[in-house]
Amino acid sequence: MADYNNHKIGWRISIMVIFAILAVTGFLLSIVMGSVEIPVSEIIGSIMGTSAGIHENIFLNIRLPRTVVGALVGINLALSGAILQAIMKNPLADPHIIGISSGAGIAGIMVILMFPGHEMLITPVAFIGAMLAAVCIYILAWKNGIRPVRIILAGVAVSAFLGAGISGMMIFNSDRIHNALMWMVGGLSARGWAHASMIWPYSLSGGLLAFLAAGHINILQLGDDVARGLGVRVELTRVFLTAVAAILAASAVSVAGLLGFVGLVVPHAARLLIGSDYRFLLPASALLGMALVTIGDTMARTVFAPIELPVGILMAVLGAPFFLFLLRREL
Amino acid sequence: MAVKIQDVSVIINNEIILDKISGSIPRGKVTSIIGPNGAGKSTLLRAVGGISNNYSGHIFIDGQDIKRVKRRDFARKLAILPQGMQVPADITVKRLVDYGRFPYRSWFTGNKGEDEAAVNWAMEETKVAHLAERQLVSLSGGERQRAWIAMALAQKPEILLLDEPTTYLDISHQLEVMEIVSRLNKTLGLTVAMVLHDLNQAVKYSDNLMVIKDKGIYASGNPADIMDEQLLREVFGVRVESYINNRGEKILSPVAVVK
Repeated sequence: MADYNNHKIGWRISIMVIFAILAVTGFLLSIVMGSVEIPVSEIIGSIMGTSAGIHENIFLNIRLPRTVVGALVGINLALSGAILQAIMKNPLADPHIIGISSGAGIAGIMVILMFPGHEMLITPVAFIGAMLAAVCIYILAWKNGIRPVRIILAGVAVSAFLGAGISGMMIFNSDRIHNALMWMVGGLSARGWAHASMIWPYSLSGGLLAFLAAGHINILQLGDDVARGLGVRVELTRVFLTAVAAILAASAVSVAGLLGFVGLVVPHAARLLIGSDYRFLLPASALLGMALVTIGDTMARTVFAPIELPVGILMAVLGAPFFLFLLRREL
Repeated sequence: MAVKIQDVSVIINNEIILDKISGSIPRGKVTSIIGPNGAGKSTLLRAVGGISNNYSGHIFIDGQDIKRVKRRDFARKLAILPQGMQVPADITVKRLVDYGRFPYRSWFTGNKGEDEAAVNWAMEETKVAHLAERQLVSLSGGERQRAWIAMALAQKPEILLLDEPTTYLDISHQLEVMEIVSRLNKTLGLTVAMVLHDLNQAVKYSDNLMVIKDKGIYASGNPADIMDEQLLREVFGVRVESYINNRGEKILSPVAVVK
């Protein structure tokens, strides 16, 4: 068995500081880098209100909102994945893999196509879609308790089913196929303040609820029987946490499409370094999720310039091999 | 009586696991539940311990129906260690024992000093204090079991339920666990009920036996009174030879399966 030292408090704080630095670095890189490089001096000037450089418009209306959206999407997906991994007792749980994102996605697309102009409806409806998908997965996977493998298989089936629905809707609305395709892959292209205002209330409330439940999540990791013995109302807690994970994932999907693997990779990497205590793991995952998506989006925008890749493609290229690695190691 | 069991039946998937069991667990005593595999011992313990509530009938603790007691209040009164417990790989003994304080904490209240004292006390009682910073997965089976018992003790319960606490342990660790349980009962007056497989250990360490056979209670009472060749033949289907060892204890030695 590997030798762990990640329970020591000094180590944990160091890791947290490193994650915070990464998150801030990612945030700044995402603002500065792109088809136009914005000098840091201009950014400072713009914030201070002392000088309005020629790039102020790009900074305030393009880079900054996109970066904020990316950061919040990263936080939401990472927290959602971390919660799902604990409550489903499944190292491979991730809102994308187990089909919660697809549930949010199909509901979101319906709103986009049937009620154009009602963007504010997307997240609540996507949340309902995500919850329905989660319920389906639980029902399909439930047979004398929940087994990790059955959840994955049920998730794959639900995902495939909902994916067919999404594809169908795309074909019937082929005039908008480009937008829909971008959305399926997951990306932050042309995300503005409107999108930021769509996601932040859910990031805040979902994040807060997740942190408040960290103690309960810790106990759930000891298994349902022990948790009951310690006075946790296991079923109620699990339903509540599933709802929190679903709202976090649904709001992320609403603004960034089906961005995959963030919720899988980030909590694992964070757990490896900081341990399984959710009072530390949740904030660490949030910071690392923010770092991964902002840095990933910066790379996706700049590496193949002038072509801009959706960040979802980058995440899939990184995430799919990681998923296979976990599959071999954990199951 | 600490626990009173009244007409408890459990049916799972149309199969009767327990059929109208009635009995009691006396206060301040060690009670062992014994019986062949599949007799329903664990099912009964889990019902009494509040882990599963899919039973009909009533279970009373201090005269209160346990289905009416709030989960947290229940967890302060009774601790249960089920079988097959698992933990995240990086969890230390101290953190596990600290989880035993969960029923005393909420988001806004809690007494850190009291929690700390209870955790340290529990680790001393079970002799795992020197392992406090060690990871649970790095310990031997016996040490791990003691750490779990420490977690249960940190709940400061009046009643402790253990489901096969010695299974998979080698003999010295089995006796170590039994000695700890016995000492906790004597020094703290803790009421203990446990499912045991080893009949001689059950006789030696218990004040009271509850023998389960065919989904019901076959016999219960003082081991010296009820444990005999006839019981073992009828309940377990084995023929035993018994003898008195030089400490004056009656030892049962199974010699053959009764055809």
